[in-house]
Amino acid sequence: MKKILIAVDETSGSKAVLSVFHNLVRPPEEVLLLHVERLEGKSLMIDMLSDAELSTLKESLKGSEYKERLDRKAEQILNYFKKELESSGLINVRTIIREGIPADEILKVAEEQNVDLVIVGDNGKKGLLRLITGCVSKEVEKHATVPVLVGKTDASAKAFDAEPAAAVVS
Amino acid sequence: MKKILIAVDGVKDSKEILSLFQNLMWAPENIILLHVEQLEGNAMMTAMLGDAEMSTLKESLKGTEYKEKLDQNADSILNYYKRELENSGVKNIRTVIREGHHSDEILKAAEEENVDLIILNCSGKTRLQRLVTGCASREVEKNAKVPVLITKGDGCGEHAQNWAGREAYAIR
Repeated sequence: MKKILIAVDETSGSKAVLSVFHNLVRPPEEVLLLHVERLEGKSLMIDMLSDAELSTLKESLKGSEYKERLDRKAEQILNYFKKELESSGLINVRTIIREGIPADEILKVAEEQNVDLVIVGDNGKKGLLRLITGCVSKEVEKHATVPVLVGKTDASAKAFDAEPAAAVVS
Repeated sequence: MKKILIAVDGVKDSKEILSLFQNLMWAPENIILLHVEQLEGNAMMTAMLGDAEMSTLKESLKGTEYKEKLDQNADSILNYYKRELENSGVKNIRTVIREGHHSDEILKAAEEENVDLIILNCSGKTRLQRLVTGCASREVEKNAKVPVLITKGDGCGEHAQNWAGREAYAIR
């Protein structure tokens, strides 16, 4: 078992993913780190675009400053997680950047790469916000054909805050 | 990692859960196997009952044949999982039976036992069923404070058929 897809974005939920990964999962042969660029920021618009419209959008953004910034951000995020994972002794970490609707892209990559487990963070959206903008973890959980592990912000926040604080004290 | 709650519903999709510990997850120090008895079978009714009504229902069912059958069923499911897990080398397995709303009881048990991870199987309901009767895995995923691992049984996920095909292929 051997190939794990970790979907990361900049939110704290993604950090939850790391602690979950370290604590629970056996070191896999290969880790795929995926970041999905949302071309339209946090707006609702992108979720309503069809494939054709989405590809037009991609086309029109190509080479723009906005896209460059997205790419830079994506690389930063992926490098951060890659470093974290490699420092824990994993060698085979591959990073992937895709663009489009996060849940869709995560599912597509999972299928294409034939992974054995998908790990996603929970963005901590609750109630109305979740209803309106949707929730990546829910969508992935619903449609994936492989096991899905959903990291939780709360649990991870504890684990993450505790360590550096203790280090400072001692 | 330390304490894992596994919510089991039936033995149908047990393979998915059991295989996790063979190759994906570290064997934890403690496993709690939980089965929630749904007092009203597959009916929607229990989902709408308040706490008071639920406890009346529990009261009235106590000692009936129906309840006994539920208990037997729960025992046989839990014992099956326990045996299988023990065979694969996991120790410290405790079984818990609760009654009431599926997702509520799973969340309560997780809280009381202070577990580090919840594992449950996706119910494999179709979209309409899911809308009408709700879905324990989704409720748990949404409201749990700890990570949740959702396994996929037959008929889960949109591409379930492709997946089944792939497995068949691998066997050949």
